[in-house]
Amino acid sequence: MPDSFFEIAGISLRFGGLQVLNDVSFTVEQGEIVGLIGPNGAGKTTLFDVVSGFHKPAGGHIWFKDVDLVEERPYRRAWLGLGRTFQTARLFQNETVLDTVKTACHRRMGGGALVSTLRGALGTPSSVTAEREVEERAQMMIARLGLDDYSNKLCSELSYGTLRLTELASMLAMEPELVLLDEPSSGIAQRETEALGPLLLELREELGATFLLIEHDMPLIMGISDRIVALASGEILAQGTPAEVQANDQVIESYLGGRVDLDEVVA
Amino acid sequence: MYWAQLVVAGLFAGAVYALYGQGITLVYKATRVPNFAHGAIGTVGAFVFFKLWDGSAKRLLIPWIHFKIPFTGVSWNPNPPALPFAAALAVALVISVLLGLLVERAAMRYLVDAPTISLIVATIGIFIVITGLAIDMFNQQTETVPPLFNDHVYSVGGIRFFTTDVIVAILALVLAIGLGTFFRFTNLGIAIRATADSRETSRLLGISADRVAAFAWAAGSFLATLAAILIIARSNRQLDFVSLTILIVPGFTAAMFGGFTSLVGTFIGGLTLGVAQNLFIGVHWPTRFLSTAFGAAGAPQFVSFLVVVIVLMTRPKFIFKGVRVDEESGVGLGKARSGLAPEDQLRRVLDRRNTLLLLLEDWKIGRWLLAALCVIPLLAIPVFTVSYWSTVLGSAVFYALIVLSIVVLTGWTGQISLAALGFAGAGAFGTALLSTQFHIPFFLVMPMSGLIGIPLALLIGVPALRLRGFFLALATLAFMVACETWLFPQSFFSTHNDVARGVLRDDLSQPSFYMSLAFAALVYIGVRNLGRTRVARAWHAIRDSENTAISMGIDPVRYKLLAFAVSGFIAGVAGGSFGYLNLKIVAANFTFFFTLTYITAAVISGIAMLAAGPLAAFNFVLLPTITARSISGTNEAIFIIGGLLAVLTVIQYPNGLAYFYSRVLRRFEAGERVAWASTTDAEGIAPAAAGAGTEEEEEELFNRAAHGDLSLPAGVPGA
Repeated sequence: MPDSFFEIAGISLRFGGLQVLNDVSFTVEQGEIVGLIGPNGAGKTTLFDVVSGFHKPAGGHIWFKDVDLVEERPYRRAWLGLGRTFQTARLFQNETVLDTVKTACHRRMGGGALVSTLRGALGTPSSVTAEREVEERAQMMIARLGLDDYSNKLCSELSYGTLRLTELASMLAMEPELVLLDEPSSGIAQRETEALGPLLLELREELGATFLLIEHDMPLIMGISDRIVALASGEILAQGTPAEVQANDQVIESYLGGRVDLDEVVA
Repeated sequence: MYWAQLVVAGLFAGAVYALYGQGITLVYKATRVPNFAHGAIGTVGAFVFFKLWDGSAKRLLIPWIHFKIPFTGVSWNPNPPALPFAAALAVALVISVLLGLLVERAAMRYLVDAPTISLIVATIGIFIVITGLAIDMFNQQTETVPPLFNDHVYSVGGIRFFTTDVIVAILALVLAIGLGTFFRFTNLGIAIRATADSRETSRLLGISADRVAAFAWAAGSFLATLAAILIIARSNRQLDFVSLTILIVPGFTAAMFGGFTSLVGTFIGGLTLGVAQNLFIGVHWPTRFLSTAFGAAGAPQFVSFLVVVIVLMTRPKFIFKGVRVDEESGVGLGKARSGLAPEDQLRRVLDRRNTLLLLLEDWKIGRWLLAALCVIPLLAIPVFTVSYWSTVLGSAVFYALIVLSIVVLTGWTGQISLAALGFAGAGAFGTALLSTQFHIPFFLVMPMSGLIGIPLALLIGVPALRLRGFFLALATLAFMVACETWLFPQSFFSTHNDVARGVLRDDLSQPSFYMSLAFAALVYIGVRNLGRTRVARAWHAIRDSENTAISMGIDPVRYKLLAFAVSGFIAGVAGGSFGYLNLKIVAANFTFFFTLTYITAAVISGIAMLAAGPLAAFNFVLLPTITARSISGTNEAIFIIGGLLAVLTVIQYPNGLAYFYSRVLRRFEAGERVAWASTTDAEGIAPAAAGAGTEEEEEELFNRAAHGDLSLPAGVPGA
């Protein structure tokens, strides 16, 4: 039984002849922001997919609050307090922003599927009240992220940046304890990326959540992460504070193909 | 010897399926379109051939061709010339090729990258249009045609077969190998494969995807006609439009064995299916119950269903290697296009005339008046009467409920199902049993008939858990055909098919209509309520992105089964109302063909909107009935118009009518009018639809978000 809040212990995964993840292990403490970096094809998103249950690992455990996630069905992991966003902002194309955020409240509403159906169809007071509460909650999250003007827009009508904010609003509504963010800056403009850092820090403050995030934007990830895990070819290259990882020769080798002044490159 | 005979006969029957499936595979392989119109195109070709061929033309009951302009008395009935065999065949093939090219050019070209449901509905629409027109043009009755060849009976080791059998088998084999070689080694073949793989990449390489698609449709239609002529000659030599269209299931099944890509696989699949069916029919069942159940006429269709489900569930590697299994549900509303959406254009026009505000804000009483105007005629007929209108209005109620059941399962949950009438049939036969055998009163039978629909829906819902998009449609189609041809015609059902109205009086029809209407209204309200809860949101989430739904904690298994159950319940209630209004349940009322028309009606009316139910009932039951009284000959025209509308809808506005109305009459959004003002029609960009438009706006959005405050006031859940 692990001591950490979240621990990836010896996760391995093969696709046919390709070793995608090889004995990956690291821990995340409660309240931390841990950044996951690595070149394309390093296995970052695949690792997220293993954690959220879309791939079954060949070996290893994922400990989250003393539960082995590998043993849990994918949707159950959300109920345990795991939230995740997708690299390509996969939200519900035909739903409005408001409905999307309300959907994220799914696990906060009591009652099984069958009971909810009967109650819902009959329009019982309990069902009406629960729906009103969810509506209020979703409105609040939308207001929090300044999306009021968009709440009745369909997700397919939104620009990428607005979609990202909708995703974050959904995360707020879901209130997970551990959030996996897959490249939150991808597809949005540079200046917005700069605003993203403070936003994430603030969300951590407010949610009290722990973040594990994949990011290619170095200033962003180095600026907000407490620790960095560097992945290459499915193996952990280095982990430590941003400064330590930035100074690591192997990381520089795999990322940049040689020693260059990192600050100069990313500036 | 008995079994050997069965296997050989099965192989020859299977060769027919293979031949039929190869055209389907060809079109799917090149364009990813599951062609439901394949049989219709082939049948047209077969009709042309048999009307022209001098060997058959003079023996037909109706040798002429009947051209007619709908809604008028204008018609022209020329006698086609009698041609020798080869010439007649050539003309038939040329006409079917032209027909295939027309279908591609006029419809399918506009549906590249369309969601699966649009492709299915478009080809169903084409199927309906072609069938409707052709029945009108060629004949209304079944013709018997002479044999194509001087059929020899061969007997090898006591196993008998005919010349036509051998020709069909050889042709199917030659096509399998020939087309397989074509795809592997010729430039055009490789181009087709590349286009199927990635339209975009092959376009960059200079391959014209449109020409590839045109070729595939031409070749597919050619094969369809060839297959249709041979199939007719080989079987009972009956020329009609029904028998060939039902071959769609074995045709698709054969193609499935080839993963819809391999022609050799299709060939082997056809043979396998033929043999499996024959062996199943040949079994001497040990008990009387089993032999009546499985010896029934529709047993081959039951075997098709089993085979489809087993193959799709287990997905053997040797079939599905390299087959792209649908990742998406295949049900989507139309994407936002460049330019102002049609609904926004109408809004702007209305707004400029100051009508929109009136409709949205000031017209509350007017809306109630309109609703009353719709409802009053429904309630105007005295209760204690027998009325022609109770049958018409009753079928409208049935129609609305079936569409509602499709909306929940397909429009809301994204499960493309072609089995709605299967669930309804179960409810209807259940109603007959409960009311006549057990003398249960109406008020209990109606909800019970809904409950009867549930297990049948779950029966197909369980295999559906692993299937998406077209493969799910295929499994449900096989299920529907098995219901139609095997389950419902069972002697038990045809001898227990009377409904006793009980307190609603067998001699009156109107009370049954009113009670059905009341139940339908209750169901509608229930589903509408449900649409505002987390259950419906979970369904929508599964439809739009299953993985995101899962990551939000939605259990896809539970909610998909729930959708099937609710859909089955609604269809079951529909079946109950059908029973009370028609008094006799006949299997012919619950056919896959009708299911297809309901799907098209649902899509035209707006498959994701509940209002589609009543709207479809009005458009496809009441309107035709009212107009049919003033204009003669509307009945076949309504099918054709419905089919055309379906094609037009999926091309132009896949969201459907109800969605359009609801978007036109929605509340004003922030900045909407400003955006209209800054957009001219010609400009073609729509800032209103683009979310945060400029970079500055978006940056502002992020900055605001970063400095917001999330202090939840007390009383809010989660605070």
